[in-house]
Amino acid sequence: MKAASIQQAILKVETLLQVKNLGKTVNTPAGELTLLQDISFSVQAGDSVAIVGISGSGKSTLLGLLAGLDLPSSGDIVLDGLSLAALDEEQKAALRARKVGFVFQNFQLLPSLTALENVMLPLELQRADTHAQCEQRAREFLERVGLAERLDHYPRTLSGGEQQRVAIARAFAGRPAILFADEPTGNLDSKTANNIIDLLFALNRDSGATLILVTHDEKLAARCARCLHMDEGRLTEARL
Amino acid sequence: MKIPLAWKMLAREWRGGELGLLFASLVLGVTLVTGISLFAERMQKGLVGEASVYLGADRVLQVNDSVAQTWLNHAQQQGLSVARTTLFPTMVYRSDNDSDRSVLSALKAVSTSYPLRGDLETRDSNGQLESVEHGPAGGAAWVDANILTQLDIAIGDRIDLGNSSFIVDRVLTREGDAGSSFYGMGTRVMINDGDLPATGLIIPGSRVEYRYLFAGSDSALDSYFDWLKPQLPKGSRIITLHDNQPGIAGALDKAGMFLRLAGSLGVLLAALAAAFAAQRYCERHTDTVAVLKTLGASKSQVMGLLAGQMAGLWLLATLTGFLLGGLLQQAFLSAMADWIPAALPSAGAYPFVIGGATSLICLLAFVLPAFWHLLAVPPWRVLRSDSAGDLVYGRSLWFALPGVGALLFLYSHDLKLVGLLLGGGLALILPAGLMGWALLRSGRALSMRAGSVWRLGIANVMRRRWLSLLQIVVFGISFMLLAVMVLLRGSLLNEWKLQIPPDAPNVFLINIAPDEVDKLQADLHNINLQTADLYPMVRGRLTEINNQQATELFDESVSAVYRELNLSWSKNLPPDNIIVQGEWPGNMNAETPPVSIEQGLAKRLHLKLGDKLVFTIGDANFTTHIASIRTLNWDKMTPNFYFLFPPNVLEAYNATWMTSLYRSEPQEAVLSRLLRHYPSVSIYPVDDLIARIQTIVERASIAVEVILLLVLIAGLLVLLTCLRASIDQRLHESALLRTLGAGKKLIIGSLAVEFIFIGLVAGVLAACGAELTAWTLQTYLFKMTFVTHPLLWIAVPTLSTLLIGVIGSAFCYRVVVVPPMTILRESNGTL
Repeated sequence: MKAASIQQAILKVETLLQVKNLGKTVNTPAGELTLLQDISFSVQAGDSVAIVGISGSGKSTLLGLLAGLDLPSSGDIVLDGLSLAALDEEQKAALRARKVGFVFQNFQLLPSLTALENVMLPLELQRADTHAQCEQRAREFLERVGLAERLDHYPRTLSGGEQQRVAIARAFAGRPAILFADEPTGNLDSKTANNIIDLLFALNRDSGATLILVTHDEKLAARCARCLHMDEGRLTEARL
Repeated sequence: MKIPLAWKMLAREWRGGELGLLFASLVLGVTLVTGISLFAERMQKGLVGEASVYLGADRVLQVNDSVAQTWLNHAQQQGLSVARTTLFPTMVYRSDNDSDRSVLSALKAVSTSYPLRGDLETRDSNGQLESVEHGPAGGAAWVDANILTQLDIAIGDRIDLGNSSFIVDRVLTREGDAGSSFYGMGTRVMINDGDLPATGLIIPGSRVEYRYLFAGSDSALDSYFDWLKPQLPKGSRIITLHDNQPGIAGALDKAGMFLRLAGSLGVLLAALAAAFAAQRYCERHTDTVAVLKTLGASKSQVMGLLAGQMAGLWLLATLTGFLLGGLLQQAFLSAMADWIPAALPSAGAYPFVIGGATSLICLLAFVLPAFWHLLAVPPWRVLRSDSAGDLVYGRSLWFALPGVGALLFLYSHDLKLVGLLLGGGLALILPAGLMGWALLRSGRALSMRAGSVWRLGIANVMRRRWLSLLQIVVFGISFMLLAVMVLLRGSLLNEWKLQIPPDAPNVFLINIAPDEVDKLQADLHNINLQTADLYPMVRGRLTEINNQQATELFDESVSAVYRELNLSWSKNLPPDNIIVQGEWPGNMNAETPPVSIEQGLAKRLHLKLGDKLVFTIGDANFTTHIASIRTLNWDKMTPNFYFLFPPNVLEAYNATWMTSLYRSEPQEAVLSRLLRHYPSVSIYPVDDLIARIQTIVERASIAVEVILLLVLIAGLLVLLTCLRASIDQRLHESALLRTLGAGKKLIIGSLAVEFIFIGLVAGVLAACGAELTAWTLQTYLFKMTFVTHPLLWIAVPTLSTLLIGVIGSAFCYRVVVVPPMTILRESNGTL
């Protein structure tokens, strides 16, 4: 390997996500509303980061921007060495397919697909594996989240905790470099939430992925290596 | 083989129950359109085929001289069958030497392939009737029963025609194409074409009408006649069913129009169902697309997934629809086996083309615009679960309108009909919306004084006012269209029933000499036969129009200026003649005498009031001006004339008189005996023609009924689809109410109130619209007289209220028997 590319590889490993002077404003009938203001931070590969704050502080907006789901009004995000500002929607989608996993508060499983098919979907979209390989990998991950017996169940016949397990299996099955989780325990009772948190961190440890999660669950935040605090669109590092 | 992800997704969604409604509505559309088209197409072809019997062919070329054999060879090369008839008046004599009895007859020599369509009915010496599909053999003659009476001979005796002698071996009792040319002709004698030269009856200068009969596919006929037309000599005439039997053609046109209108309604209803189902599909897939995007699916991948799924769905739905449509048609044919001809011609591929196009256009017009909406779904939507249920109806309308218009045109080939349906529909939406709105408001005011169930129900309608209004307008227009079909069917069938009254004349008497008129009338009166009025008939040609040669103005396709016309005069306007322009009889003191012309001919010759016409009668010319334009009733079996003069214009020319009368079967022999005293008078029975028209009308009526039934079923299915598609939100809210502790009575009661109210308002709207539309259609499209329909005002709102109330409540009944959690989970996948 040439020196330059080694250096590049190390750089990538070191800083997976870099946020520079990020801002987001929206126009409302009452005038311009600032959702995010001058946010800068970076995340190392393999890190786990919690973004906390009260409702309406801009946590979810920030998460949407980080994952390239929405456009910032100012500033830039560099994800895995690529500036999101320089990518069009297609390229951002391709980047998500390769590198990004998601876990949502409301699970967002497709209601007409079984648990197995929901987990297979991102793999099929990547078009890297054969059908059999996709299925094999999806089964494996569903087994790891403890749903080996529920492969053919539709989301409506699964409990909330089970649905979130399927969502976690779906997120990790795609071999993401970075995983975004938006209030992953927000819709669950505390016992189930604890199980889900354990599962999330266990899988994250095994895969070596970077984890960024938005939450107002103190216990969940406490398990992350870093904690960033959002307040009225501004970000402060709560602890290192 | 690698199966595309889109198809895998199709299979998964199918299994997951997401595609059921859209699939069902597409299948419904294809089934209806294919089924109705198959049935209508075959039925209409069958009816037209039945009617072709009157020509003995599909098309006829009438010429004054025999045509080149190469023309006929060319026709045969094109796959057409060809026959020839030669027709001219001649005297028939008894063959025994001691009698010089003779009678004027219309001799018809037919080739062996005659008739190409239909058959002849004959009677042998034992009185046995037999249908045959050929003419007489060489040396034999078939004659009208009147010839036997007038010559006082029996079957097996001989008659002389010119130099030849023939054995009369059968009586000709029915001859399909007899009605196509009879004025100035006598009673029928039919011989074989091969015997004609030996008779020596045709000499140069003889006035002979040659008819060449052609039968085959429409396309072969069209291309042959396109080739033939430029080569035709002057005086040739091409006869189609339309020229030949305006009465039958008119009935068929109306039946065809009704079938097309009904089919178009089926198309519209199916499109409506597809629109609702597509809307629901897209609403339920907004989140799916957002998830796909966050999972890294590119826009093109999402598009490919959606388009691939739709293509697969289209294929499945269309094939299923073809199968069901075919079965539907088969079911109708076998259910109606007693009333319809045993062997209907096959319908061809067109019904399938139109069926496939229906589902395709429905998908393109209703699903595609919603797809654009889906493609634009921002991926961050997944982070907010509150933005569900955006409506995209408005946008899809603009795509849907041209789509539906194209579909209707493809179906009916009738721009006027499409314009009337779409324009009428659009024109109705605004007033319907306004009226619906007013009714909604008054409903709310009323409900304030009612119990809680009513208040809650009406409040629901008001809260969902746009959805409610949309449903009211859609249901209202659907019910209206169905009601219009029922009304039209009623008046169409009534009119057909009235068309030929039971005592309509069934015999024409022609060639009555002027000095015999009074005596014949008195004699007929003595044997209790009532005649219609007697009319004189002078044969003349229309030679000049506004100082220009008529034959220079028009080519051979306008036969009226190339042949002799029957001109007549009358003091009064004959019954069933209606003046549509000008006045009768017009200014008698003008420079030229006035004449009244039939409307259709005036249109074909581009004539208007005041135009100058020159007629040539014998060697004399005389000038006249158009004083009025008339419509005629061709179905009343009374003498009808294109040109009618007041008295004292044509008196100077040689005229013979004609009339028509009704004679019952027992009177037949009496009439024959009487006419022996009037050897020159020809009797021309039309019983057979009347029977045929009645059969056709009867069958067309059945076809109309069946199609109507189909469309009604379609309407019901559409209602089901539309209600089902709009029920999700109601279920969700009812489940919430249930969790808050609401009782069964309150929930079902308020839902029932909601549906009953929507049904009632839609029904009232439908009744108003139906009366208005029926008036428009009857007055402008079918040209029938309009009557109001009081029953409609009761029946439509009642039915609509009942149907929507019952079906809507039934759909929602689940909400009170299933745990609320189940429904809440189904409606958005989360709680």
